[in-house]
Amino acid sequence: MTSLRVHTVFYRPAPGDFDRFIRGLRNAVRVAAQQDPGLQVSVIVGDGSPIPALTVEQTEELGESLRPWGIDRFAYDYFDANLGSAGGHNRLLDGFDEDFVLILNPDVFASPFLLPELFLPHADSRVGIVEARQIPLEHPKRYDPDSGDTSWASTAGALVRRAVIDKVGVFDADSFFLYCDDVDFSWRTRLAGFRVVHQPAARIFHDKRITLEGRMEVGDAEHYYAAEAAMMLAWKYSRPDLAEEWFDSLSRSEMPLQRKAADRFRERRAAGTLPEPLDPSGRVAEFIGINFAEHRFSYDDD
Amino acid sequence: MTERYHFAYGEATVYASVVDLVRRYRLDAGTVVADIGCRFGAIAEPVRDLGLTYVGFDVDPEGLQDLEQRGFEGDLVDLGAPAEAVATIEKRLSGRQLSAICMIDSLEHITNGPDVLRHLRVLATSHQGAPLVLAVPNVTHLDLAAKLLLGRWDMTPTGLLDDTHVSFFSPGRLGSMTRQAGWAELGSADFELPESDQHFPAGAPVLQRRTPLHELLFNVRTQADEGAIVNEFVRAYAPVALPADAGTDEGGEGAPFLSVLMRTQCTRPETLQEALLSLAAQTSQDFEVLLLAHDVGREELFDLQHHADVFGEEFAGRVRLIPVDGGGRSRPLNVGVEAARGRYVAILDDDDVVFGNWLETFEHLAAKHPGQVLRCSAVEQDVELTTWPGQRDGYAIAGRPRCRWPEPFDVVDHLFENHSPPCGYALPRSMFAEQGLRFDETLPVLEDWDVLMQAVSWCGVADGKAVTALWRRWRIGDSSTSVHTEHEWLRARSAVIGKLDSRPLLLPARTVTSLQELHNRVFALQAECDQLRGAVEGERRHNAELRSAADRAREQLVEIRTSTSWKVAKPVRVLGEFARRVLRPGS
Repeated sequence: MTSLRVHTVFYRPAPGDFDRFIRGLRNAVRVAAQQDPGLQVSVIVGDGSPIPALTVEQTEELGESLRPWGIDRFAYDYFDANLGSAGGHNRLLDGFDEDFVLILNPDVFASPFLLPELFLPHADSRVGIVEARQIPLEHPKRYDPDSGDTSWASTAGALVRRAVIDKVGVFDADSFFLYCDDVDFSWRTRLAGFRVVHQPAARIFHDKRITLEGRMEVGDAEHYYAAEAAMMLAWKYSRPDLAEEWFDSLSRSEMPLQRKAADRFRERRAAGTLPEPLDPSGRVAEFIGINFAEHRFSYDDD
Repeated sequence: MTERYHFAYGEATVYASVVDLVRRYRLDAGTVVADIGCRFGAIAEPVRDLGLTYVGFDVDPEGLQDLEQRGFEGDLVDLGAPAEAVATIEKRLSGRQLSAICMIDSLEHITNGPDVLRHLRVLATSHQGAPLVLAVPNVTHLDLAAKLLLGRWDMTPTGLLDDTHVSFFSPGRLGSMTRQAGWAELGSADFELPESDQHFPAGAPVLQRRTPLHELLFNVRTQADEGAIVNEFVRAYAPVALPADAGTDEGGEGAPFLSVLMRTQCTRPETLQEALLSLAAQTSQDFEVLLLAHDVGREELFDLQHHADVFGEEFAGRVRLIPVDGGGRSRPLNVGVEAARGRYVAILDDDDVVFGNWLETFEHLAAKHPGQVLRCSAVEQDVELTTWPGQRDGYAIAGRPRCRWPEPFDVVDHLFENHSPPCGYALPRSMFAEQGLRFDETLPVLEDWDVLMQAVSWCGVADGKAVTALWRRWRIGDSSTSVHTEHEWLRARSAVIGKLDSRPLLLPARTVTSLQELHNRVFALQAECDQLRGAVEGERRHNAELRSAADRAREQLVEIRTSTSWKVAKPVRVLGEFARRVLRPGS
């Protein structure tokens, strides 16, 4: 009998996002439960929005309605603060005692066979995290076509074995608010001896959009947090040279948000609150250009 | 009545068409042809010539007296009281079996047509299912439609707009009325007149054949429905069971916003799953999916149904699996548009993927620009076949999405080449349901371009200014770009352009400006080209002059070298060369 917990963290969801998330998830659980009647599933939704999305009654009603789909327990945790992705998931992981945790982005729609496909590589106990494939915009990072091994797993959709949490701990919310928390978590997982695997047949629809020029739409939050996270990641994985290089470049950026990220890094460096460096020999960490893995293609190519 | 309705039988008349249908569909077991509303019985003699007994029935005694004088039977009936009329007919028959019932130019003179037709059905069924031959004028003749555009409705003593007509028939209304009364059509011998009695004023461009305006109207009318040049519908019917009152929901309340036509041959299950997933994940779910299984075996049909079922009842309930056998790429699309119920129709192939706002963007556009072609941007992405972990057949993305097709839609550009992959737009279903548009089944490819151009020409385009779809280009494998030969693509392109060329083309406002710009560009390029050509010519002339000067110099040099004085002076030149080398700095 396998027990699974599913996590997501909302922040100011667009109208319909929550319903869509639940629609996809409950169907994926239904299909998985048909294949494995012993599967026990609980779902916890965290909400960092200024106003709660669900009332107590709505939560109970929703929980009741999800039971026939195979979701034994539904919980809604209103944070009353924006904890970010890493902080939100850490709060939800408090008291985690299931065999696996599936972490999903809130703007994700799960495919019917998502769970069986994600569980498949976990048959090998050395596998710590299995990453789903995102459509319509697939992540370009390379994976081994035979084994699925990859540098890191995006927590837009990733199934994590409990042993990883036990051994590695939770996300580094102190260093990574919104981005690269999954890169760091994956690399720590690999440093602990687990494999991180991409499973292309495990699909999630991740509602990303592109511009008329064919480039990813990037919001303000991404400009700031991605810049901050990149410097932190370089620092944490023993590449102070790179952290400095990016800091210099961001300090001179024309984008105020990127300069703000550089300021924040400067402050933390001055205060001595940067994370303790890991992986000094570069066993798992990969810094290729501005990417954290070798990419098969780039969304920024001309 | 009634001298004005005293028409004679003749070849190439409505009466000849009626007699033709009587001959084709009469019951051999019967001997009598009952002509309801017979007036002067124009078909009496030809019916008798078929070896049948003609009996006329009318409300006016004048025509019946004429018949009697010609040796035919007749009786007075009033169709205002159809039950009594049928009783009178039965009485007149006095046990004789009907071979056929005719009703020529009468249905348009009565207000209770459906009731009369129902009673005639009862009469026919009591006579072993004798057929009914109807002749009614067609008010959808192109002459009338064209004249309405001139603001004209000319009533006349006889003809299509006889001033005594109280009921008017289109092909659809005639079909619907007869069906509802329990008559099924057996055959037709419609009486056609390209120029009807309403063909006046004949010089008006809307009526004048071969004018672009008339040709355009003719195209619109003929594509939409039958009967553009039919003066009278002449149809034969058999009595059948009365239909259940089955209302249709097509395009009405409860119909979805969009019908998604998804062609599949069940050869790409991985991408099919993703196409369906991207639909299930739409922010708006107001659509149905017609999964058009083209030349797919029984086992694979089960697989396809399973692909839909795994999304759960709510989604699967909006997916209709429709097997389609034979034909090319157009066939499943035509089957799809006929089965579609949505207000709009979109094509999404089984290797396309749409973004979460695909449907929502169409909805916003439709709200602002109802009835137009709704077009958003699709981007192209290269994919290739590969093997996934576990030795499973899969595919891999081989590059970032690229915006290959220009924004916004430009109708002039589209006249030369298709710049709109089908997953990027939605067409009003009325273009198919009401205007008769269909995908050309003679085209091996580019069927979408052909349909798009006609829809755009008639509906116009509303641009979404957003990327909402991903069109996959297979580097290796079976996409239409590789399955079909270069020759097929070229042939299809010529065919589409030929079709565009064969009819007047409606272009949207401001097209003249676009054409003017295009013309100016060509003109400027031509001028530049002429200038360059002139410059090249000048250079060529200059080169020729130089070459000729060089030739002359060469000749002179030869002359000098072969001269005696040159040979004598050789030692002096050698010494001079030596001196230059010795005195050169650094040597």
